[in-house]
Amino acid sequence: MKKALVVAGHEFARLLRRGWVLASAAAMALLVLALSATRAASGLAPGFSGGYGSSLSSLVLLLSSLSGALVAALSFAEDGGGGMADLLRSFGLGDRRFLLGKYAGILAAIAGAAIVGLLVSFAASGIAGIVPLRGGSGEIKALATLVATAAATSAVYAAWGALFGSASRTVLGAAGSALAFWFVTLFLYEAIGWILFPALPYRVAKPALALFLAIDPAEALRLGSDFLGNHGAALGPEFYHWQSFFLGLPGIVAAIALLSAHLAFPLALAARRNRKASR
Amino acid sequence: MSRRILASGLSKRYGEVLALDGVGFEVEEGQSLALIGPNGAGKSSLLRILGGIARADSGTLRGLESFRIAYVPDGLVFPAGSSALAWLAFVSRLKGAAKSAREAAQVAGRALEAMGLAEHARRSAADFSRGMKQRLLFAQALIGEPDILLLDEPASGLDPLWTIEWKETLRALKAGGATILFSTHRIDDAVEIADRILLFDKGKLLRDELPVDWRQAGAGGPERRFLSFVGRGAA
Repeated sequence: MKKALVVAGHEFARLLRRGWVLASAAAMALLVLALSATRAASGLAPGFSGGYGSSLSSLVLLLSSLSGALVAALSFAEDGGGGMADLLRSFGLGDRRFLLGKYAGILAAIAGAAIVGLLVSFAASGIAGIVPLRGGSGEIKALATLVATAAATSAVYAAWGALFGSASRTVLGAAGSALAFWFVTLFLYEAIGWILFPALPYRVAKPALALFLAIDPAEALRLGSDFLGNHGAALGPEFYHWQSFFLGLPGIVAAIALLSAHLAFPLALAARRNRKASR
Repeated sequence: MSRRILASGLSKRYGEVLALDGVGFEVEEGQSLALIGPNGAGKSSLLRILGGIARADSGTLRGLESFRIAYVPDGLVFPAGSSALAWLAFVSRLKGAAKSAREAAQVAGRALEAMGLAEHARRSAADFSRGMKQRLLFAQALIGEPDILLLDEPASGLDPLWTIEWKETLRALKAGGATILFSTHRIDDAVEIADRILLFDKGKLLRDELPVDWRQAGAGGPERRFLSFVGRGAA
């Protein structure tokens, strides 16, 4: 455990020195600020009401998933292909501890960057009067939802990035796999749903839709964020019922279990891949 | 009573390639062994198995657990974003040579000093020249006072000055009781430094000899002797 923490601390410090982690924080801040400014210019009401909250949530999902998958894939590929993972093994650092430590360091850096970007943009937009925040409990809850979305999205996509980075022999291959996964889960998967579900009979469509949405990390995270932000009703009656379930205790337990599965599956595959590499 | 490492019947296959084929040998504590052979002969695979990085498919390895092992890989790529000092401090904490960040920085500073890299401590290790990287790898190996050193092509990329320095460091370590196994393509280095020379080809250990056997190789010298064993020339 102590060695895993040392690896996490080193990875965190190393990534902070890399320009692109700070660039992802800056991108988050600038894009949220631009979205807020656009909304203010259109003369809509202040706060997080309506489509604004949803747009922010989508933006956070988009950026956190991209940086999570990409940074983790690059970081793991650098160590695997370059021989560093081998050297660390010679220190008696087990594959699992290496994986978890490195993953924790990456997650702390990218989730931290996303959250800092969000907070900076809100502070800036509040000061500039672009989004006149009133500091009400609704706004705090909305901000907390965005922070939770950023953290959960970074965690899940970084886990997949860890798998692609461990499985790829080259940095380019890892980055390509991560980008392809990001594109498929965020855009292509949803498009498949639009084609598939109208053709299904209603009785089959409902459980199939639930499974379809739970399997894809982007859809599951998007829905989780919408449910947390009380936007489920806007998606349709079924989603309202699901939202009611997920906001209760059994639903919270189910959501944690689903999130854990989305984290554990790619990490277990990455651990298996690393074990294989050391044989 | 001195410790010893006993390897017997070590085999390792990577897909279709048989990297090691029933290799067996014995090393007494304090001995230095040079592993020579053409590329793909099995030298690196053997060092990786001894270093605990890879597992042999078959065979046994005894006595290694009582040693503090240090491994120097060949051609390691340092990830960007880590200074030489930060990386060595990280290594010293992983090896248990330092308990706090401050102590780790001190250990790392001393290791850099010993390898003549103190003035480059804040530079990214990824930007080092090949020779400097090799010295940095040597610095990490010496952290934690290992009693067995596994060095894969340790002199590769070193300039003549640092090659001399490297040889002297090895001799000093040997005099201090360290056991050293190193792979090299420089047969002269092997003859000069090692107590025994192990010649590999196609995963097999062909010869386990004393340097004197190579010094007295007659016309053509050690190179000719090497070629005669690996079957790519006449003795």
